[in-house]
Amino acid sequence: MNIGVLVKPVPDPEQYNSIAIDPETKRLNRAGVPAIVNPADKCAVEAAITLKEKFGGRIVVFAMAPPDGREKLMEVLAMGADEAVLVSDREFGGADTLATSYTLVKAIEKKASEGDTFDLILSGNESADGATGHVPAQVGEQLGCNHLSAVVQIDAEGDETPESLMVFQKFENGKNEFEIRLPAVIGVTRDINKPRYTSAMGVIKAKKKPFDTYDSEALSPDKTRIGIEGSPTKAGAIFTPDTGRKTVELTGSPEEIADELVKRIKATGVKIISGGGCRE
Amino acid sequence: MSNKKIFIYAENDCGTIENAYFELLSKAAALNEKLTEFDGSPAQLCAVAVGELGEDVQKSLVESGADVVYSIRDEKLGVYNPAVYSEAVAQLCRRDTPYIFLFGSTAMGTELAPTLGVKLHTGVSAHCVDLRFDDSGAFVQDVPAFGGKVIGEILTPYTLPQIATVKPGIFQRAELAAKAAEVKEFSPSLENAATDGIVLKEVHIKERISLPVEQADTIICGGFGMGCDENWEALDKIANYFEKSAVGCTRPALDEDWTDDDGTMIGTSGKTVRPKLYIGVGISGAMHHVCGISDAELIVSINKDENADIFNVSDIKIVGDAVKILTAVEERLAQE
Ligand SMILES: Cc1cc2nc3c(=O)[nH]c(=O)nc-3n(C[C@H](O)[C@H](O)[C@H](O)COP(=O)(O)OP(=O)(O)OC[C@H]3O[C@@H](n4cnc5c(N)ncnc54)[C@H](O)[C@@H]3O)c2cc1C
Ligand SMILES: Nc1ncnc2c1ncn2[C@@H]1O[C@H](COP(=O)(O)O)[C@@H](O)[C@H]1O
Repeated sequence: MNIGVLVKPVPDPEQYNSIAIDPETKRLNRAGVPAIVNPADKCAVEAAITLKEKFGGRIVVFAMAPPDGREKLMEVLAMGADEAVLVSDREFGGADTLATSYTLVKAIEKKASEGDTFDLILSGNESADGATGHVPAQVGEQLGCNHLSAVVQIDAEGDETPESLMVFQKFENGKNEFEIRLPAVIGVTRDINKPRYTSAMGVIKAKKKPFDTYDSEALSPDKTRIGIEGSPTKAGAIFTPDTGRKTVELTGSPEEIADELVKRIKATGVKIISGGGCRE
Repeated sequence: MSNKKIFIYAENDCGTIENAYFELLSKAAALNEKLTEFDGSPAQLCAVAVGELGEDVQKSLVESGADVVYSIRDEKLGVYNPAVYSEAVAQLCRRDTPYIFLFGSTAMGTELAPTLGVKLHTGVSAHCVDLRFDDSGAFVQDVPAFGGKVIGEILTPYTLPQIATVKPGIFQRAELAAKAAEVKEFSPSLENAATDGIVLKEVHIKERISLPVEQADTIICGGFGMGCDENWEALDKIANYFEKSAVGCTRPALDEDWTDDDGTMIGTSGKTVRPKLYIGVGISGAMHHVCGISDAELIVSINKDENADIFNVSDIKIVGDAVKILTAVEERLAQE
């Protein structure tokens, strides 16, 4: 089973509280926030490795990112992917999800035309920074194949690459179990697995694995469909939401704090039910 | 009436219309006031429902305050199939070119909206936290980034429809005057639509025993600072003293299996809530979580770290050990 995995380098979500807008330039200041592989994308890589262990084949990882995205691709090669493609060109910059997925599709098609036709494309369901969750559906749609988002489980039977997979899609009230015919694009959430750790051996092996960089010339895309120009959505102003509140601190012993808290809760009109038992 | 149309996807979830539809319709009605200033007349508010509706559902849509209910029907639309549903909706859009198309950011909405974006070659903005018309009449969609730490304005200036998704709970449902909407049936041509690429085999419904967090007036929310399974029970005990209460969680608490109900997670990947009272215990205050509670009336936070970010967004700050404080609070509540 040949599998392509879409991997996006994102600023480390654990540090989003330190991201701010520069009051002078009105631009985003994310100085010092390091990039990591988008957490859900690591789960996509893990899911690909699990399928490969069963059916064989190759795993090619794709990232559309500035040149330093290379490091992040090296990390997933070290996890166990076989080959990496960095899709990188100034012309791709400023793309919205439609232009991003178009560009990724061009890269997938180019790689496939070189011999690796893909049975499956896996992606994270959503990125930590933009978190639109659009890319899996939009890549699938533009590739012209079946696609499903929010997948939390993939079941595959047999020893040979099957014609279809059984997948579970999470929705508000439970899970939908779908049979999806390959080739397909599937966006997976973090629920699907726990990504493996990278071994030192993996890091060493990664250095010898094939690594391609595709620029705009290599993909010869329709220029009206890439980058800022190819994006039907345009970005306007950015601002930080005002979530701050006037905070009162309660101090004293736990008993004193509890007493004051209960008084203040009652003052807001929220009723306390004598004896409890509301949820039994 | 202006010839503009605002489409709102009416997601039919096992025989009831998702709340997101009513919330979005309420918002669209408010937007219409501003649109009238520019156009001289309001846009048509249109519910778009796919599949057999059933009498009750149809009635609730007709009385919802919409002008038109599009009922898209075909035998291939019996059960949810994203490929066929999106094709059917796209055909209606090609015929009637809506100006704006709103979806709830539900599992279904977040799958259909971007698919439609490709089919109609137009922009889609995700998880909007506000929608408005600016002074030039442009439709501005406020989209959160970095877990909600930053909001960016998104415009779709050149293509139609302008598609946006909004999480349930972001807008409040208003009482709209019922208009007795006209029901228009639409039969897509789906002869060529491949129905066998994706086939729904089974729906596994998760039984909920407790009140959903988004409906609760009081939420006691636990984070990673709760420490262990045994401590988690203290949250239930506190919640017991409040009517219409629920216990919520952050993602690490879910990852630790202290609760197995992922429907109680609050934040970017979880629910948006607006309770009267929210008590957060052992929660650091990551934007991913905080953005889901910003409309709570009273926010109380308990954290042992006096510099925890959560305190910046709280009305009441309590520095202390989770278990010690909760024990004292429970004893105090028992005296009521
Ligand atoms: C794409 C993406 C989406 C996400 N979506 C969500 C989401 O929807 N909801 C969500 O919650 N998270 C989400 N997260 C995770 C989020 O970024 C944070 O990691 C998470 O909210 C932190 O949870 P926490 O505050 O419980 O844990 P921590 O950040 O670990 O904080 C624990 C806190 O407990 C305090 N503490 C420790 N011991 C005690 C004690 N004995 N008594 C009192 N206090 C104590 C500590 O001081 C600390 O402040 C998402 C992350 C990503 C990348
Ligand atoms: N620039 C990119 N390069 C590679 N993969 C991407 C890129 N953007 C998005 N993706 C993939 O699409 C998923 C969903 O992203 P998003 O639609 O931005 O939430 C991510 O988890 C990645 O797997």
